[in-house]
Amino acid sequence: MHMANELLSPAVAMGGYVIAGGSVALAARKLRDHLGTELVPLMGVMGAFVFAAQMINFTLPAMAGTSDHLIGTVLLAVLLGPHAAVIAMTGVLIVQCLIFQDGGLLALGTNVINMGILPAYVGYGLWRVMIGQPGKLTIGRLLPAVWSAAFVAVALGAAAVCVEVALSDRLTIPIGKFSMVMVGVHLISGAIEGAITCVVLVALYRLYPNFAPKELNWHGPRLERGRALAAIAIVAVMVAGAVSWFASPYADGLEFAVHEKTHENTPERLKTDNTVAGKVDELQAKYALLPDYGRRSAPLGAPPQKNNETEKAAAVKNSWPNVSVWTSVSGLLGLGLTMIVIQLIARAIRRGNVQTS
Amino acid sequence: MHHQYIDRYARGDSAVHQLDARTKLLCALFFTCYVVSVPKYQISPLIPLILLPFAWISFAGIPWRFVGKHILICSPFIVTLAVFNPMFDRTSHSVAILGQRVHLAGGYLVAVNLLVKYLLGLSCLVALASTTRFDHLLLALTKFRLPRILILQLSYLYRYLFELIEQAHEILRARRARSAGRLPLSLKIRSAAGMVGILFVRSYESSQKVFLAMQARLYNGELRPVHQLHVRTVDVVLLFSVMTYLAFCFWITHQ
Repeated sequence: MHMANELLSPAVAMGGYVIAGGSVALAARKLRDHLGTELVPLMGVMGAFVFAAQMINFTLPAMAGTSDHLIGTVLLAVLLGPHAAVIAMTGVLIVQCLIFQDGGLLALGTNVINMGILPAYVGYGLWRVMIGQPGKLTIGRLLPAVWSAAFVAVALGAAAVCVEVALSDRLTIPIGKFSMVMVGVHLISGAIEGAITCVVLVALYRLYPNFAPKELNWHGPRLERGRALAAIAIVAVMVAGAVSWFASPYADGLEFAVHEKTHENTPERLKTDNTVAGKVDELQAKYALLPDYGRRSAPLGAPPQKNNETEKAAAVKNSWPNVSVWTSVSGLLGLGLTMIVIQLIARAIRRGNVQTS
Repeated sequence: MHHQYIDRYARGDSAVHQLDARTKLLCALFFTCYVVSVPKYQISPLIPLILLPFAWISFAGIPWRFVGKHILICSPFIVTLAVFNPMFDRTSHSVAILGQRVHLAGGYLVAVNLLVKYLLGLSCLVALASTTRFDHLLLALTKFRLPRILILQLSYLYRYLFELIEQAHEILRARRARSAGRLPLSLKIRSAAGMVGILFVRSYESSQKVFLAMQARLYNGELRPVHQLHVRTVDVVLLFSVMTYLAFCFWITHQ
């Protein structure tokens, strides 16, 4: 779900930074008030935990080579509270951006919102609401709450990606369809995230009962195992059903979202174009039964004869100021020369350094 | 992607490595802002921008093969996204390529624009990460007034990240060694969850040990870095020239 710089406009990116920065600052203040210095190593190591836990994947049935893994925000929020989860996820995202180059520098703010703040607060809030009265909490109520929280959190993050992309207007892929596929794919992803989060919690509570909420009625291993397995079975059936609908060799939901687009049929796609050229294309689609995209849009393509005038009008509207051969050639030459000079100077300096040291 | 290779060039001692981390961070930020602000149908304003990451990487002496590998590793997502643009945006644009006026579908322009922006942004980020030690970067972030708790969190995260990744690798290796044949999905989810659970417990326990050890050494919630950042004249000059360069790039594409 990591967004790249290129999908965002500067305004949206800055807005993301402001919102994310404000929320993280608030979370940090809340945490400082509630917990002491003990928190710091815990948070750091938990961030590293999320990082490492994301490497543990498992293959899905029916699709060879497809795998999924935990994102982990809701797991952290349930175990440590939403504020700690926000701080831990923010740290993870900063390191992923600065060290691993996953997610852009400007997109950091929106990534923190999509994968940290929204999942942590909304997921945790939903979980709190669903577990309801603390006194009567059972594992049969806890697990559906956890599953729903994780599921909603992932879907919400995906929806937020769509909103940010739409606001930025950097893609020309129709945003409505992009969103449908993007959210659709992440619904599956969220179902799996929910299932893993449930089973991790059961495993943890069994190993370390002191992690479990104090209110939880812990009846002994036998009953819980039966219920947990029933929950897993339900989730597994749901996941298997949903997955078979969307069977695809793509591992990442985002990639899948884009790939899906190619299968849509032409007329629908053209309807979304409301510019002059879009209408021209619609006309063309009427006359040419099988428009060949690769050829038609090839660089050399002279405009089709029938629609010469409208096409010209569009071309004039979008044309750049006059550019002659020589300005562009000399520009490119100058660029190449500068690069060679930089390379030479750099090499000379480096050699000098080695000799002196 | 093995972790030992992620920022292995960050501890070099070239002139670029010795610059103040704040200078480099600001340069990268301004540069990325400028790159992202180029409109989606324009490509030529992006071309002169290649000089900054190019010079940065050249002067730092980072091998091009390393940079290229990083750019390739992170590319599948943005390439997929870019490649499908020509199918949707079919508005015709008149473009001058070496003086020849040709008509191109807008989608192709957007695709090339996205790819070039990706190339620029990522090479700048690789340059930053490969010439700046992470603790220096954290010091810079401290100077930029990020919340203290976030900085501490980042420093611990970085400290324990690689150990936990190593543990995750071990767990995965153990699973590979043991798993034979096909398992039902419920069992797969359970085994994955068990592994995540074990990892959580190990992380939690090690954080407790770390905390006890730090308390024993009179830790009071304050981290004291050994290294301090210094702004030298060269930093000021460099930042100024990068701004001038960006302004120049703006000027030649808008004249």
